[in-house]
Amino acid sequence: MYSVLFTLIAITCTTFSLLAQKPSVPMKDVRGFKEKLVNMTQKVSTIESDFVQEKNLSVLSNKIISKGHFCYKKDNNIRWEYQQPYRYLIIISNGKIFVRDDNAQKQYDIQSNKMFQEMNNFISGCIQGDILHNDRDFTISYFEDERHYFVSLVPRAESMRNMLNEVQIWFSRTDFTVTRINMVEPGGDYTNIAFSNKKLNTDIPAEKFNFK
Amino acid sequence: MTHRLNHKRIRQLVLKPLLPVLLSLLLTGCAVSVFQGYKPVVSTGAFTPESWFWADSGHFLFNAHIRVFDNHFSGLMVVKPEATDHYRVVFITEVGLKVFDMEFLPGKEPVVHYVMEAMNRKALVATLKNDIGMVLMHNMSVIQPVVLRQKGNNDLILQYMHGGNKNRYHFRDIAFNRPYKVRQMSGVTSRVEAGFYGSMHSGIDSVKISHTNIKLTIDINRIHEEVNHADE
Repeated sequence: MYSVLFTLIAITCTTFSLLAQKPSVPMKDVRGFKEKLVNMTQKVSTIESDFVQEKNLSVLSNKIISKGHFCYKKDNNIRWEYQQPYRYLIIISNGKIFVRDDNAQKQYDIQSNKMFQEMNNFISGCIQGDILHNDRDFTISYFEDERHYFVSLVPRAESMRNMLNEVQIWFSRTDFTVTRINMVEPGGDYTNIAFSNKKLNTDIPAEKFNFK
Repeated sequence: MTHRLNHKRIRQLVLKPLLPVLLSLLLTGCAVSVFQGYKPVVSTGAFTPESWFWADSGHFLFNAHIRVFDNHFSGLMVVKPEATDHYRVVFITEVGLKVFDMEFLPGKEPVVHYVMEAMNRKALVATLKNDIGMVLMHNMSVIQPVVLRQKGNNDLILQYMHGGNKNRYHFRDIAFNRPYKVRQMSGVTSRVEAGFYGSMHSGIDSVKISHTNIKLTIDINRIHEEVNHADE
């Protein structure tokens, strides 16, 4: 139900500081937060956004920074187009995933590959917000500060915790769009995806989600 | 009975004296038969090729594809030389999830710090450790190779006995002291081959690894980042 809203990728907070502290004050009105998300969800059918992905590995002093463009179209059509420092395209649509880079392209049935299935569920769940409904697999906590609503998801299963310690999602207080996702691994390595230049309800051609 | 005695006498009179000769031929001459026209030459340390992943070069970022049977893993591979013969290799998906993290320490077996559950199969992990170690030339500097040369050809093949029954052959370009190909052979049919593509100026550009006895290929293509690694 919240899927579209959570997919909203925003940069209303202008230049997003990747070093921003995570809010630590417990959210006062979680129910109100969720209701507002639902309201936003119902109004949005497409989202376009730029994104910057930072991969921090403890073995490197520099982060690996990737940039690209993100598209979402109701229902569950997602396009990640990495543009720097390499070109890479991921399209998730109709239960299939398509990946292409300069050297190869391939199409997969998400259901046929356990790893893709899990990864897709996880990634799209973060983007679309479905993951927030998953109380069975995650311990979910809600926080806030002057600019953001902040949701922390801690996996319950040990197998999941071996991969991720915590998933953090920031929402803009002004329009309830997702501004940032941070995936923290055991050992402290993390992947931070910050979204910017958000455009809502633009006309995104269906071809953007076709596999060519 | 006569038949038996004949066989016994043949073994005593013919095979027994020949055994040391046959063994020595097997031990020293295999490479000659594998690469026609190549013969061992006197080896000096100067022949030893250098790793493409030298220790003072920050880190290397690759776009990587690992295809194993019907599974395909793609993402970014980071190779970080820590010191001489000490490397950290991390493979992550494009969206940042870690697939594996291995450390290659001098004089030791590779250490696996993490492997994603979907890839955590003993045989596959052992193969990946071997293949990546082969590409890095991990622990090769301590092995004295047999140097093979073909008459009229300046390129060299360096034969390393590695890990018991494995022979690794490094094909060294005479103008560029780095291997352009490494072939590992064990048993009769098992073969792994890595092709290196790059130049003296830009360094390593890509590596392609393929196996003959299992459906496994690894392709890595260098991504040149804009950031400065001088501080690493």
